[in-house]
Amino acid sequence: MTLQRINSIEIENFRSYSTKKVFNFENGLNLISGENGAGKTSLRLAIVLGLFSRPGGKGLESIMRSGNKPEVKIEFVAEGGTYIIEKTFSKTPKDGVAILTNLDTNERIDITDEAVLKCRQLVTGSEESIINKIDGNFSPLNDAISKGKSFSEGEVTKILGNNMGSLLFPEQGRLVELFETNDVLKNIGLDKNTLTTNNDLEKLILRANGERTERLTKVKFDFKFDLENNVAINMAANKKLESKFKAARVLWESVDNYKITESKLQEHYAKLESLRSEQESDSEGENLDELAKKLEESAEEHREKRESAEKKTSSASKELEESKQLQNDRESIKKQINELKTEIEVNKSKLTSENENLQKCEEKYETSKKKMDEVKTQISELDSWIDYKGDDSYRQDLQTIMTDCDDELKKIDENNKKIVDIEQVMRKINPASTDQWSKINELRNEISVAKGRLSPWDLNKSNVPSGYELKVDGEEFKEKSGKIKSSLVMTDSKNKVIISISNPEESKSIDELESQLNEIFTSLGVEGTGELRIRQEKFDKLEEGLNDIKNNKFRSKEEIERSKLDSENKLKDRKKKPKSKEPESELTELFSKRNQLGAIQNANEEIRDDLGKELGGLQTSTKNLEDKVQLNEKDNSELNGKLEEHRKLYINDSELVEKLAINRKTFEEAKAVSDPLTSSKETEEDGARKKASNIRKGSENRNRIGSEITECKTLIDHIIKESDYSKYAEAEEKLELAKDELELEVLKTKAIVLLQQSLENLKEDKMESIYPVLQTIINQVAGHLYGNGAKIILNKDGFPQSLVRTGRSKIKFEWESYGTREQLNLLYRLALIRIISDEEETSLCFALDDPLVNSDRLRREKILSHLNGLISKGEHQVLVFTCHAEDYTTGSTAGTVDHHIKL
Amino acid sequence: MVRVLATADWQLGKAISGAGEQSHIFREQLFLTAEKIVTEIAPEHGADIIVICGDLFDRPEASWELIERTAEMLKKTKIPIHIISGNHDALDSSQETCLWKLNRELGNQSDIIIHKTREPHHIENLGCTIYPGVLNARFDNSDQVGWIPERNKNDGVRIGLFHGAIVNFGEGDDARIKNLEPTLAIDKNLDIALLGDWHQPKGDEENSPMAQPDNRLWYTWAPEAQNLSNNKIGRVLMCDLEVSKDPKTTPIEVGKNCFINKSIEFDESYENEYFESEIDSISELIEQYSEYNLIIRIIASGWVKEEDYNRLEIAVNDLKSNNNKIMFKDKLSILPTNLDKSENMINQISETINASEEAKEIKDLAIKLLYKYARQELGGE
Repeated sequence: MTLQRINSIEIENFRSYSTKKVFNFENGLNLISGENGAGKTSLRLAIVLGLFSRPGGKGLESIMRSGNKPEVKIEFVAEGGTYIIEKTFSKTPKDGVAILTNLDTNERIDITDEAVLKCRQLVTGSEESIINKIDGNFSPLNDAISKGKSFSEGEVTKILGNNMGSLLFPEQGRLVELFETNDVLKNIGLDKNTLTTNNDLEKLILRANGERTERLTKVKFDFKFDLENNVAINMAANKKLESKFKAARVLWESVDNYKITESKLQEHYAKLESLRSEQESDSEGENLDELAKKLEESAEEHREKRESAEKKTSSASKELEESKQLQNDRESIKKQINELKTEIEVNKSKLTSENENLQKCEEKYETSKKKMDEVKTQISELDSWIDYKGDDSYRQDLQTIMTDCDDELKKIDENNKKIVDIEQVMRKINPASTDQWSKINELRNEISVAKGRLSPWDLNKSNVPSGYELKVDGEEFKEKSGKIKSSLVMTDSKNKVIISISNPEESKSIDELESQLNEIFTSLGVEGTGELRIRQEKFDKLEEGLNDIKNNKFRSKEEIERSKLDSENKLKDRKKKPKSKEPESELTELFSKRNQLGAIQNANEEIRDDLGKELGGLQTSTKNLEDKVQLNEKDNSELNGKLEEHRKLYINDSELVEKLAINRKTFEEAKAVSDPLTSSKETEEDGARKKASNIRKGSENRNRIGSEITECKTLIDHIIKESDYSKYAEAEEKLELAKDELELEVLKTKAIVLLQQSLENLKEDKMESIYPVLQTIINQVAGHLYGNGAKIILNKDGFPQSLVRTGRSKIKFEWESYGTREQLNLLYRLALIRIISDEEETSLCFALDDPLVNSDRLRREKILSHLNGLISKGEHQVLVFTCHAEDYTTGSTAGTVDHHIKL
Repeated sequence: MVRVLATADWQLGKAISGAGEQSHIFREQLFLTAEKIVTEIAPEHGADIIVICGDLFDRPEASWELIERTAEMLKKTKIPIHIISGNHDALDSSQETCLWKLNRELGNQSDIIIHKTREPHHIENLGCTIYPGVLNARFDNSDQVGWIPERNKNDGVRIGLFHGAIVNFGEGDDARIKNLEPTLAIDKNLDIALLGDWHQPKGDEENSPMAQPDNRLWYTWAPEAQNLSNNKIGRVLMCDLEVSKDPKTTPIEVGKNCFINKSIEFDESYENEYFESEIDSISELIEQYSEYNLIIRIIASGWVKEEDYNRLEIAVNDLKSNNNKIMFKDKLSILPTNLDKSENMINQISETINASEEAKEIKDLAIKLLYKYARQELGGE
């Protein structure tokens, strides 16, 4: 719960207020207006100091007036109750007075510090941890809040802290500045009681972090240790772990040293044991000298016997060796002869087989050669056919030319004959000559002209009386009407001319002309133009045909003959058809066959090469074998000679065998005597002598062993003492204890880190849950204020980071204009207030200090309308301080103010 | 009749595991009890002979200081003592192990015999023969029994001494593989087989596979508990033996070392009385064993209310501060609880912690710390 409403404030001797002044506030928007210096800041400061600060302390000079002490009395509603806080301010801390009265219960707190803190708790609802400590321990509180000892106006905010107080009564001018980290945000969530929860969470985080930093400077989780290998992962990050690890490691080393000592001791004990057994086996005889002498004598006797036997054995051995050598030599020669024989035989048989090979190879070579020749012939024939066939089309072309020439000549002859025939027919037709035609035409024209001049007249409604006859143009005229060309003659029944009308001149010339015309016709033997025209047409047709024929362009016969001859010559020059049988295949097939043959040829050549090489090789090897056989036979005869010589020089073979047997027997007899003597040498001679020597040295040796044992025991004692060996078990026990402690500390450290991380995660989750609500609320207004689609982007801490207007790029908050920043901060603050009041289900009292002084009229009006909505919805009380009263009272904003205090 | 005091596994010089800072007291007690057996228990009960069935010393390389002290202690009695080696003090002929040294320290004390070979030892005046199955190496798998000859009419009471296991048991370095037959006394016509190596029966002795009275085989058990898992008071075995008669045995408690594992299990619906009674029972145990070297290891597990956890912790700390006899093995998890105003938040944090992938013991501890901090920082009471 927080401050819901300020009913009234009484001020006396406070800055600009010298006499007592009472201000009453109403619900809704309270406008406090006045010019600069009228007392707005003093009133605002009186409210802030009256609600939040301690009444005594240095730095309060700014509110002091000479004479009486400043007094402030505020009646307010918080946590559902009505309270009065009365404060008398003083420069000396102890002289400040604060009294808090609950008007509902008449409960009164007149211990100044308690009253101040209780009042702050009521007003901010977020100082519980401090309040809680009041009963037990008051002195740290002095430190916590008496920073106000030297506060000046700006430091009031510090007193308020970044909490509810600063949200409700922010520092003057703060609105246009960047938001600083504001714990208000951290204290808002969506659940009821989240404010408290988050406060608690903060405390737990602080504690867990404290515990953690006692151990670790950085959050680490992976702690491992291995005492044996002295491996410590992250142990050094933790003072406690490090010291425990080091302690455990020291103990481990000491236990390890004990173990080393243990094994060292084992070695010494082993030595001690062997010394003791040596000591025990030491004989303790009497008459030692005599015993020694006897032993030495027997040793000498044995030596003599042994050496004599060994000599005999050695000499027998020598002889045996000599005869063995002789036999070896002879056998060796025999062996060589035999070996050589075998070799010769082997080589001879090899030679035979090689010769066979050679023959076969030669045959193969010949076969291959023959085959090669065949292939070559085939290829050459094929090639000539390919050549020939490749020329086929050209040859055909030449042939065609020649045929064409013949055809053309033939056509020329035919043409000429046709011309003669046609000309003959034409001559028989006898058409009019061109002059005759022109004369005919001329006459016909003249006749026509004359006839034209003889223009006819019309004979209308002739009513020839009976008995009368009418002749028109010489013909009897019986029709009622008609045309008259040249003459009209009416005769009576008596054939008397009654009327005669005529055109005699023209008639005469026409007759003349016609007679000339007939003359021509007669000369041509026709009756008229019609016949002549038919004749002329027939003539013309023939003439046309003749012309067509004449128009057939032919080369001259000479030219054709020449061309034909030329082609014939060329044809003669072409390749002659090969003599071999013509293959039936097409050219392409011939090509592929040619390629196959080529491949066969190549393959055959390789085979032939190989065969050639083989042949060469075989020839060489047979030659070599022959040489070798010869050489070996020569060696063999030499060796046979050598054998004979050896037999002559020494004894023969059977004698040699006998001698060897005798020598062997002698040697074995000698060895049977000497061997036992040799093998018993060590015991019978050396052992006896050593024993004798030991016996002589007996007492001396015992003393030595004794002193070695003492030495060894002393050493063991020394080691045990030096290593503090009796503490072995104790060290093991301590190590076990240290290991347990170390493991426990690792566990604890991990648990603390886990706890801290879990707390921080939870806190982060809670913060995240605020964003959508804040974002939604703030953007509802943003759209209204900056146009549809405008958005205010919040940063990860939840503060306005930038404003995005539709169609414009994003602008960082600090780059925005003074006015926009002012508006954004105000909207942000109003959004927070709305969230808190919704969550807490309470109305709030908050102050705005000239909040829209930099804003344009339109935006100011919109924001005021938003503010009014917020106020009426949440029944809040708002104190607006301004020197521009008209901004709130005129135009469309008129009526937004519920209560107006003019200063 | 021969009265034999049988004992084994003194393990003198052993490092005591699980006794924390008190270890040295427990270790010293091993010697004091051994001394008491030899100088008080044996004469008081009229023993004719003392047999020690192996592991008199814990380490073959026991310090000479301890060996000398032991020799002096053994010399204090007139009763004959027969000792065989065990796996911890095997008579390795290549090394001068502790028993060899003890033998030298004892000098010509003919009544104290350390058997070095497996051969019958007849004691004429007592009318008995000892068959010592000595061990010649730490892991001596040779036949410990086959050498025992058939009964001869002059043998008298035939007493076999062995050190080994009649069933497999234990783990790791301490694992024992069965190397003796439970019927060995019957098989070899011994009037009793006395065995060392196992320090205590697991659970109820009568039902243990180690109890073989019908087979005339007896483990003596160690006279002292040596680590946290030894929850019984040490003893020796007094045996009255006659030829071809079943032995009469009487255990005599001699131990002063007392390790108690006290389990407290909370199920989710435990009653307050249970909590109270468990706390009380610990005090009762302390009272009951006031004469002993006592370590009570409280192993608390299950789910407990936070306030009870707090109470338990305080109670344990009280007990710890009064004497040094308490160890607390905390395997408890905290039940979701009412911690005044922060109930919801604390539960949320607990859930967050439990959702992590850390080991359960870390999460449990983190939650316990959470409650502790909450109580201290937020004043939950």
